[in-house]
Amino acid sequence: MPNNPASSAPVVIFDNVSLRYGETVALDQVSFQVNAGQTWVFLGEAGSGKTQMCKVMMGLVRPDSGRVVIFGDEISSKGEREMFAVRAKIGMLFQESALFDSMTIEENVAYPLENQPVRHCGPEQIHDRVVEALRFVELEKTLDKVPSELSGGMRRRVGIARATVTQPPLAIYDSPTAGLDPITANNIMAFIAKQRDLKGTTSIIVSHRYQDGVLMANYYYDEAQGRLIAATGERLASVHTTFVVMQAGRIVFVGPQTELEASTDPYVSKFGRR
Amino acid sequence: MLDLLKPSFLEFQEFFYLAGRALKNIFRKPHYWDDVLLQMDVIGVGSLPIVSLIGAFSGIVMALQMSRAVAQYGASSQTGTFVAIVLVRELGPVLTALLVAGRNASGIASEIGSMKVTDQIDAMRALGTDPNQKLVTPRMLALAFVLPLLTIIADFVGLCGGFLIGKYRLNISAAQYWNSAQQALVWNDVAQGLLKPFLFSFVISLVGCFYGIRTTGGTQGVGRSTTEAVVVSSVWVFILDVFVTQIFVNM
Repeated sequence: MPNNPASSAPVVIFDNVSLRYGETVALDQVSFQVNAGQTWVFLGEAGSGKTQMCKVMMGLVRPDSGRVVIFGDEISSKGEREMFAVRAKIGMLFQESALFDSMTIEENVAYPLENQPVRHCGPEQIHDRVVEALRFVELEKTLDKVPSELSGGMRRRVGIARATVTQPPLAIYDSPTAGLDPITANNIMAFIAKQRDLKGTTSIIVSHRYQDGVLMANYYYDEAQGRLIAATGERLASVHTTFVVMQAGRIVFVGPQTELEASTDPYVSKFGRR
Repeated sequence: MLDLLKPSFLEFQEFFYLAGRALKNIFRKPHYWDDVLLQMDVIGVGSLPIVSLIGAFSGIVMALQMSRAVAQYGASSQTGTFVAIVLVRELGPVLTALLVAGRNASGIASEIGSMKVTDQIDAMRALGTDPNQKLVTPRMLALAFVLPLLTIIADFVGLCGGFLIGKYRLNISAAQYWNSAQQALVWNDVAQGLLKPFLFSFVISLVGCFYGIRTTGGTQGVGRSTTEAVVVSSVWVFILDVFVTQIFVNM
């Protein structure tokens, strides 16, 4: 088994992180700790601060107060240039994918390999790495297409390929299934679980769909069969998923699936229903 | 009153911060020369037809207007002198800059603005590039190189337009027209005729990038930034023009 949540080092630490835009509170004293190999699913209504939390984690937005520690590096005080080395360890799927629409799919996926100051591979290997990442999401035939030629679900898959082409130890997925039909959404989640289970990537998933979390918490990707299989016994521990519910920038619930489903809080229980 | 001025000052400060970073990035790695060349092609080669066309028409109109004005003093033969001075000193640089501002400040602002509202700017940062270095500096360098060239072309085509009027309407010989045009121009004229577009180029590219990068509010926001970029860069072209002209007139 590639990951062992019990004995692992902290990957992300949020310590009393607050962020506001004028009068609007985006994050209000948010604290949590994600360890290597874990899966965390953040739920919450629109505007509850989920996307802002992802951006703070990535160092794209500087919090007003509090500490953010990524792989042991305190990032809240780092300059933009120093951040590149930290960001190279994180893969991020943006809401609506944020693919560069003036570039081909190949150029999009190659972007982190070519531009990150940390060298992941030699220039001659870039093409192979890109093809491999695209094959992972079953899109290796779209190399020369541009993002506008692809459907929403395919763009999301290219986004996953771009986020994971460097094989980062931590991946953040911001609303991977937003605006997709249920079947496509399940496919996307299968690729996220595949990345977690085959590569041992610490996964942070932000979503408004409880089913996404249920999938991560109860299924694992089986390489031999090439699909998601319901986890039982020992396997269940490796897919163990922590659920977080956010409301108006605050964390109002942290715990496993069983606790979430048993919650009697009217706001929290809204997210624990399938 | 102070509260009213505060946002404008803040905007000014942010603009100079962006400009400063863009200039500093010229001397810092990595350099995106591909993007510089691409922008030169988009802005320079792309603007060539419209700039030549407008240059020709302004030369023709100048010659027509001047011929009537100077005819009162019996100096029709000196038409080339006036066309040359007005074009090289003033109309060439300003008209070209305004056209490029309308064409490319808007293009830059809408391109970068769309990238901003679809999170592509953040994605760029997430994937290891400084958007200022990747987007702003190449546009600034490209425009600083091509705008003086475009102006030279506009000046030349304008002089040719003036020549057509001189020859076929006013019956000035080719030798006389070109001689008077050439003699009219001194180094002072050429210097200000080239310094102006060089300075205007920074206004156009940086204002375009500035409004693009601070775009918020979806597609509507992109439209707003585009409009602001064209209006603000055009106004600053005129303001700078006054200052530069003032300096050269006193020299």
